[in-house]
Amino acid sequence: MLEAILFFLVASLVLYAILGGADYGAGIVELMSPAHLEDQIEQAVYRAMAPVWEANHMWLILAVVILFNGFPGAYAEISVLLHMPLTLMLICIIIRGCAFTFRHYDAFVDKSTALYSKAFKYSSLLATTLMGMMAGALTKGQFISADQGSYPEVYWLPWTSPFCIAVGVFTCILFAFQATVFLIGEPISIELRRHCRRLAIILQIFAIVCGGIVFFTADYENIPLVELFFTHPVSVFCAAMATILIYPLWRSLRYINQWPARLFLGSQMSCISIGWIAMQYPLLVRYKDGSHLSLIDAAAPPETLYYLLWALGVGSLFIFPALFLLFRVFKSKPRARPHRPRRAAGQPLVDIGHFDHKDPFG
Amino acid sequence: MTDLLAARSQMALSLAFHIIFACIGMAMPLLMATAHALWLRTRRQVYYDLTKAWSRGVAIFFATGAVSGTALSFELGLLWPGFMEHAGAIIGMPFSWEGTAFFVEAIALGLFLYGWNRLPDPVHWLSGVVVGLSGLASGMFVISANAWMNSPAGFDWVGGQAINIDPWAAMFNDRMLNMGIHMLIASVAATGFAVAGLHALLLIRNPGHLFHQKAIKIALLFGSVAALVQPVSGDLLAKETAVKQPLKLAAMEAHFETEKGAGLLVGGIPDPDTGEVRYGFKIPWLLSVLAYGDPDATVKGLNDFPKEEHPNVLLTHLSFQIMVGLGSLMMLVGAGWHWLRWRKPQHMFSPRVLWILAVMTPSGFLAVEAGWCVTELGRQPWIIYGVMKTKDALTPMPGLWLPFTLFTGVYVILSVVLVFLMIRQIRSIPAHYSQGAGENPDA
Repeated sequence: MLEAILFFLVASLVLYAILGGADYGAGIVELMSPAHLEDQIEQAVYRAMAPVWEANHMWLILAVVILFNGFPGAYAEISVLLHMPLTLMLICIIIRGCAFTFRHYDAFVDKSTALYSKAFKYSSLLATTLMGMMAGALTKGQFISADQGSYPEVYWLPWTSPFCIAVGVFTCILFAFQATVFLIGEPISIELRRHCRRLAIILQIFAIVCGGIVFFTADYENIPLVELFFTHPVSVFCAAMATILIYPLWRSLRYINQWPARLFLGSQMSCISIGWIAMQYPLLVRYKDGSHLSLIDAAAPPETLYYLLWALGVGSLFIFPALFLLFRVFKSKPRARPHRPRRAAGQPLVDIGHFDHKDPFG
Repeated sequence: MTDLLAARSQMALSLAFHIIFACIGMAMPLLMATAHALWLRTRRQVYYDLTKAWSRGVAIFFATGAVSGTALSFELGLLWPGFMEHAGAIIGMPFSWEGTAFFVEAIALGLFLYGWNRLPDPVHWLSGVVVGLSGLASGMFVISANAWMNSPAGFDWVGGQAINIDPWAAMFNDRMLNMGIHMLIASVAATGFAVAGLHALLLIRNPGHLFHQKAIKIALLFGSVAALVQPVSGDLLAKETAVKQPLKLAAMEAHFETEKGAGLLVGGIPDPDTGEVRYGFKIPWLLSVLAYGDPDATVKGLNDFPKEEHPNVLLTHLSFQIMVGLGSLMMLVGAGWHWLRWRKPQHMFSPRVLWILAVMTPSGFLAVEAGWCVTELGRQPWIIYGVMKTKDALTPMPGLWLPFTLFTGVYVILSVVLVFLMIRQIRSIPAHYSQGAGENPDA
């Protein structure tokens, strides 16, 4: 039963990293785009994100709910130790969600639109950084219990070390990369697509450099990252898979049909998140004095887990068909398009233009 | 500012902010789906415009509600880890159901907002209805958790630990049904009156505009029916409170001395130190009747309970008075307007009537906020009634003024922006939706 609930927890975290991650990345990509593409990219992001971002966001809520229902002790401890970064992240989440909606739904386009845009971009960047920093802090695992240290030692230092910041930056790069891949698959202009491809290459290079910095800072802070990593076979497997997937991902980016690329990207992100979780599992919080809080020890009594599993199972019956419909309606190619001749293998990328879903000949 | 006060203020602020969007998210889709159904039936442009305009409002408010709700799901742990550590396992289940309902709501909203010309009409309409229904369901689940805090069930508290946990019994606790229903009705009443009031204000500016007339008719129908049903739900709730939380009822009524055949206090400013009430008057026997259905029933007073367990009597009583007063006013206005519509339709959109509706715009939401003050302040000093004190659930983190300041700043800015945004939405209405003006208003 515990395993099944852990599966749901990991699944929602992974799905949040893939779907929510791309949404956060969209804000970062906007930030990295030149001024003359601003309007285009904002529209593309809006078209891609608007119908689905709230649903994507629900994975986080689901993960939190599973955590506090199924593992209340762990949820309480994390809430105490990561109070400040969580608060800051929540504020960023509030700002970016509102700014994103306001930007589109404002009745007039003027100076305030630019302001919403700025708020959306910077809060996306900051929220992602904070998420990464918290992941870094959990990996680093040098927390001090609330009653054993001073205010900065307990509440600020564990998540603000160079290693945590490096992981934060790495997360930004990863999410932004995801967003570029998702955007390339959207109906966008040749110019924008070219920009996204260039950005994807730059981000990939950044990722490699930043990955190196993560290991370097880990070494500097005496975090046994390499050992931690290689003692977990799942992590090693996931890392290998994530690396191997780079090749098909890059190849598939050249084609019109972007679903393989998205699939490869999704698998790559799943590998990275599962690899990270496997490395941590089952220890959620590790303290400086060597003690730790295990997810299994923090689990709720069996009665609670039983009902939670029921709720998750029945909930899935509602969520997945609805989600399928949502993505089918908004993420599939318009059905009314005339028969497309089968694409020859290796056909290079051509612009599929700016099509109108209502127009059968668009 | 003590940490406890900072944490309570942050929680109160976050809830007060979120509740408005939660209400709109629950009730507005019902209005929207009604307009949509009318458009599909009649194919009159004005209903199409109305559906579109309202769905823009829903999109803005739903997004705000979704993110402020996310913040709340974390804040429970950030501020009250001592509470969540124990309550999570007991009362987490309605939250997981709420998560599901909210998920469905978000998906359905995406389908509704962006489904024009992509979904078949019945599916599209249904997606709008599902937004409303799942919104109401998630409201019910959240209230279930709050009801549990007032009437803890489904566990045994032994030596500071919860054992024999039964999540099912916790979720369907004694107070869930009446509290939940009271809130759902309140959300419909508040949203109905707010929407009607805004359109009334616009109708004053653009007399004879069919768009606003139709809007008022739909919104006030929902608002008035809800306002008229609400006292029944309120009465059931009061009777339940009298049995389950006599101390809360006493605080609501500023009822200090235990009394047989107690009178109902209307208005008045209680002084908790002396136990005196100034400027109020009592309606004889009514409190006994309302609480127990018997004019001779004994109603326990505040002085029968230890002083350290008293909630803030002044605020609880005043909030209760505000809620009941505004609710009665809404009932009166709603019934009056429908009487006008029935007997003297030529006056239903007269400037005087429209001004009354316009003034009533915030009434429902003020009543909702006041009602929440009653139930939350009235439960203090307990976070889990009779089991855990609020101060014992507080996070050990010092310096809580910092998160409180940050959240306050964000919510204040956001409120200003939302008002600004709404004013601009409203300004754009005549430009976007003027087609209806030429239609015959009586049709």
